[in-house]
Amino acid sequence: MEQQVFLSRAERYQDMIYRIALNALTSPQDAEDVLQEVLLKLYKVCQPPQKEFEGEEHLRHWLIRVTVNACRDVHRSAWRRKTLPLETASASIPFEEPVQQELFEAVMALPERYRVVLYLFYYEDLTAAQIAAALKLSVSAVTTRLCRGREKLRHIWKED
Amino acid sequence: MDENNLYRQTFSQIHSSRIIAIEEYQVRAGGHSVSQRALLLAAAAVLLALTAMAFAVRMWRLQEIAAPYPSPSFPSEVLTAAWEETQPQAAPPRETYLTLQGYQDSPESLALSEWLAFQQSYDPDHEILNRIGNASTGLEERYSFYTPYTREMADELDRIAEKYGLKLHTEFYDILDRQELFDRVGGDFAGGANGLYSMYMYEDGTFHYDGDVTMPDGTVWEYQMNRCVKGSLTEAYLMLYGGVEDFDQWTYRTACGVPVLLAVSDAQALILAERKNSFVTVNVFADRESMAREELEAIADTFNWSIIG
Repeated sequence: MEQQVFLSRAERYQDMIYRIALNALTSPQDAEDVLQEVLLKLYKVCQPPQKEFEGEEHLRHWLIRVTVNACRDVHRSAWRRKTLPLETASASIPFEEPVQQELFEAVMALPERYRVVLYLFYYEDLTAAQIAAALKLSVSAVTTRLCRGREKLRHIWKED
Repeated sequence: MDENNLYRQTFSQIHSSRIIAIEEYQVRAGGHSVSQRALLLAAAAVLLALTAMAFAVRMWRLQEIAAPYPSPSFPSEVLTAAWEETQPQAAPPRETYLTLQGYQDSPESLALSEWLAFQQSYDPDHEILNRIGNASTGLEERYSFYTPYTREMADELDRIAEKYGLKLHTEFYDILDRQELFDRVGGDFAGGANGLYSMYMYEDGTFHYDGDVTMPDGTVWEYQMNRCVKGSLTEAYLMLYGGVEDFDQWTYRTACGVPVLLAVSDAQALILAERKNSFVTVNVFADRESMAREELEAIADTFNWSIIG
């Protein structure tokens, strides 16, 4: 039973965890490592006595926080591998449209502090307050980063 | 297409290649893989420290535990992130590190500083590390809680540990239940106000956890606690935003009678306690603007420091 719960949750959130980690770290290998680490934590909380989640949103927010923290640990690691060249990472993803590849590369070229905020806002539909809680930032810092991040991507938006 | 849809369509095409095998997690829940060790190491290489008998005879300050050498490989964007919140127009301050193992002249701090300095000078362009990648080095079992990836680095680590009469960590436990941590430490040192998460401990009692504390007025503060047991070489240090001179520091006798050092800057708040057998650091996610001195003292009072030996 616990295994089914874990597998169901892992499959549901696998891509979310990976995407957050990729945004934070830019390295697909590091992102996979973080995914592995977060799934291990998920596995553990799915074992008796199970950690109680107050619904799906609670679980999703917990996973986001765990992922963000795991990424910070990687940032702090002297062991961290040199980031895979951006062209290599981008080339391995078969984007449907050139503008999507351009956007991806532009996002990955942003400083980390913008990337994760943009992802949580645009893709996970988190509010500025929720992002602030997940990243341990003030709400004003989140909104500032959102504005600056969007500004830095302006040429892509315009192009499209 | 608006920017929201373009972003979503772009990132919806990114998928993990991982195939989730339940057996892998069953095994790993009882042990640690190489990559996890690297992450655990990273986690260990982050936090804090201090305590009492020595405290009674030696009034110390952050200046006495600041590491004389910088740690390796911190991305500059991470270093500057917190600073930007308060000083967006100013240049990032210089980086300072606390060794979290005691006074600068303690064997543990001297050993860590020497080990960090060696790492900084070794393989500076990561050529060797990149060549090794994720492959096994043959060093994982003996040095799983440190970061050597060549025999030469491992030998240097051994030499430093021997020079300062320190042991290297040999075992590591995830702790899933707060009572288990209390049992291993020797009692409930955190009380009901504190929530403890992501706990782990080494074989000598060195531990780390992420926590939060709920104050009587309902305010919740998050923090990390790190205890470094003396006699071991622990790769634990705390990055400070700015220098130690940027902190207001004062000693405070907690409710349990144990004195601690409290420190607050524009970016951080710390509680440091030197105990007989260990050095304890609490890194509170707060700063001078968000937290009054009395609040930091109240947080320090929520711990029974006398239990942490």
